[in-house]
Amino acid sequence: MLKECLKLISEGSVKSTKDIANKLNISEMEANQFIEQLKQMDYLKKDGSEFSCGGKCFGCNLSNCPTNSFMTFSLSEKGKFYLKKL
Amino acid sequence: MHTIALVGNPNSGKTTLFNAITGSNQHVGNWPGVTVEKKEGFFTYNKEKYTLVDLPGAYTLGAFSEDEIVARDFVLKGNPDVVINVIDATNIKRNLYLTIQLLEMGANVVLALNMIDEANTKKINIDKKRLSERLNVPIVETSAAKKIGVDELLKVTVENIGRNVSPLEISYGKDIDEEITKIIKLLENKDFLYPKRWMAIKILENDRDIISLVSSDSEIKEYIDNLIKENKIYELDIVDKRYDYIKTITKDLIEEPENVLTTTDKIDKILTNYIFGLPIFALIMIIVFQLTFKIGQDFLGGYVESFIEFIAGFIESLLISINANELLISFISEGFFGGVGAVLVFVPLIVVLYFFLAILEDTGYMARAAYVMDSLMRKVGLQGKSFISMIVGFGCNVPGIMSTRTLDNKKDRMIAILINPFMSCGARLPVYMVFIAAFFPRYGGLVLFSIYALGIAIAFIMAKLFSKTLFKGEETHFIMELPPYRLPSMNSVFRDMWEKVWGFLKRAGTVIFLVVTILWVLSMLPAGVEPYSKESLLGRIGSFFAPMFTPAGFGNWQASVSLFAGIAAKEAIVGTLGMLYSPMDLTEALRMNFSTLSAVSYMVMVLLYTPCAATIATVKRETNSNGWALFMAVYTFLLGYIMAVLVYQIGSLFI
Repeated sequence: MLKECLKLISEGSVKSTKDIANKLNISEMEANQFIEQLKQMDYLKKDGSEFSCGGKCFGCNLSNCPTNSFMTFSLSEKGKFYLKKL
Repeated sequence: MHTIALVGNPNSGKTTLFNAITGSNQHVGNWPGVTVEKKEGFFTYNKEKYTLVDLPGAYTLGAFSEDEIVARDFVLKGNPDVVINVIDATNIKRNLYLTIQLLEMGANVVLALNMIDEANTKKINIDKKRLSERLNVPIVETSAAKKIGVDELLKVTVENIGRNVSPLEISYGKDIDEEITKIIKLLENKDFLYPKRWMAIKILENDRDIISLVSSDSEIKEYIDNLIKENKIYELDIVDKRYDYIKTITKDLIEEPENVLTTTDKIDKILTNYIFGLPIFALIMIIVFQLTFKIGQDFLGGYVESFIEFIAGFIESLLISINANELLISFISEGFFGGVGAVLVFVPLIVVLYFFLAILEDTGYMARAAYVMDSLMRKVGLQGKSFISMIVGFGCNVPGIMSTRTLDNKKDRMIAILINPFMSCGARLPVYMVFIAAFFPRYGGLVLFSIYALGIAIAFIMAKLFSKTLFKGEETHFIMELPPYRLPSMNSVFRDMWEKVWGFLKRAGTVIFLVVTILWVLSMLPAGVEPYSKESLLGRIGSFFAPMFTPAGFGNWQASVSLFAGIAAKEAIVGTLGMLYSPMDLTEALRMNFSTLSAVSYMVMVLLYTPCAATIATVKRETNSNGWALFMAVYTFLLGYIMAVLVYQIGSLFI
């Protein structure tokens, strides 16, 4: 299932764990679990993790720093390499 | 004294159970060499004293964090007599992943099926007896928070001290099992503290801690190097097999109600619907803009305007009464209050608009907006995540451009930077407001929405163009983590709103004041000329550029001066117009100098033309290129100009 999750993300056919759950016919809880596992194993990386404005930018109309407002994760180099190998 | 270890996932109720068992007989320290907290306590059962060690919460026993390493090292090297594995009964399958790893290590496990009361409430039924048989471990149902089952857990734990257990051996499939056997052979007769099979699996899982441990052995190191050379990557397969094993072992033993929709799920079904998501987003924004006008202008706007007029009148009278210099009186009443005051009048609108936007963000809706926009954005070659920088750009393009740092791909980032100025920032809001008040007072919300929508549409068109020409490259995909909906925290909403208002006021008192002062001086020179006239220095500069804007319908010198002042800061546009038409009421003056059509073309120009100096400087900083900064300044000007001319010329055919 982890491989399938990774493939779905790389194809761009899913945008959330809900989508993954629907595509793989599993519960959202399971999909979350797999995504957590992939994150932990460094197959997915948090986007823009090096950027932080500390929420103090004038004019930014988000009450939190945009990177904290919602997070996105994409394939890490390790994830890309793994899929290439398949 | 016997030692018992407590292991579990974070939030499984492990620490609550630890406290329930040890009470005040505990002390906290640190694990040697790491910053992980070590909690140790004592309890007495049947007059015998036991040590209880609360290990750090972990989902797995890999080497991904210090917590995991500490937990697994204690299980393997600390020789606990029993490991109580606390598992959250409401999320049993996920928690069993850790259990399986403990069993593979050969630990003497007792399962505490914690939060069983919550599981019962959620109608989750677990066949404890059969699960215990299949896993070959004792299971005790507990609710640590309510101190249910704690005594039974201690009884079973103590009874199982000294139980003879052998490590669980899962079949990982032919290829992996063969590799495991080969590695076990290599590990034979080697002096490692850990179980051989477990080490073999960890090596195949690419566990950096174990690999570094065994790399001292040249034979094993060579084997590992060969695995890497041959691209034999098994870690995902191993994890998958463990989940398959959990699936098999829990088959028919866990009954869960299917698809219980949470409130967030129910709301998401509507708000992120494939068909209705976008129209709903548009509708919400129209309502926000409409409310901004109704409350910010119709209700609050009058008070602020009257207040500024009152202060302006009072200070002017005061200056006249003390026989102040005429130039000073002119500067204060026409320059300062006519210019800066014209900008300050819009504070209520800014307050209301950002109040609603902060609410949308704080409730978790903005993340959904990005979600529903994603498909559309991908079609134009933009990454859905660029929507974050676009939303930020609606406040101010400077942080909007800075937030493109969240995009790792250079292609995505450059496109997101180049289109960000089309997201109409808060500083441009007063321009639209004053023109809407003059020409479209009844359709404020709709006109404002159309301007914002036009900005987004142009951004999408340009993004498509850039992705097909300047920045070709592969797309990057991602998944979003959407926060659950929640009631907005008024504290956070008001703080956010105040930051915007304060920023707006600060700019009005600094940049706008400076721009207006310079323009006021230019409008007074050369000496003896009629102030604010076409013959003034400012009038002559404006008149030089004005013909260029005639095809766009606003070829008067005041309009061209205001547009150039807007390059310093967009708020300066209204400030400049306010000063140049002072003491006449600005809306009245606009009606006299613009037609409805030229007002629209002017607003389009303001929306699209060269962003402010701060934004251009940010582009230079973020791209590390003067070329891109210049490109941004020039292409947006040309685009704004062409669009304004098109609007006016095509509109003239019909009006």
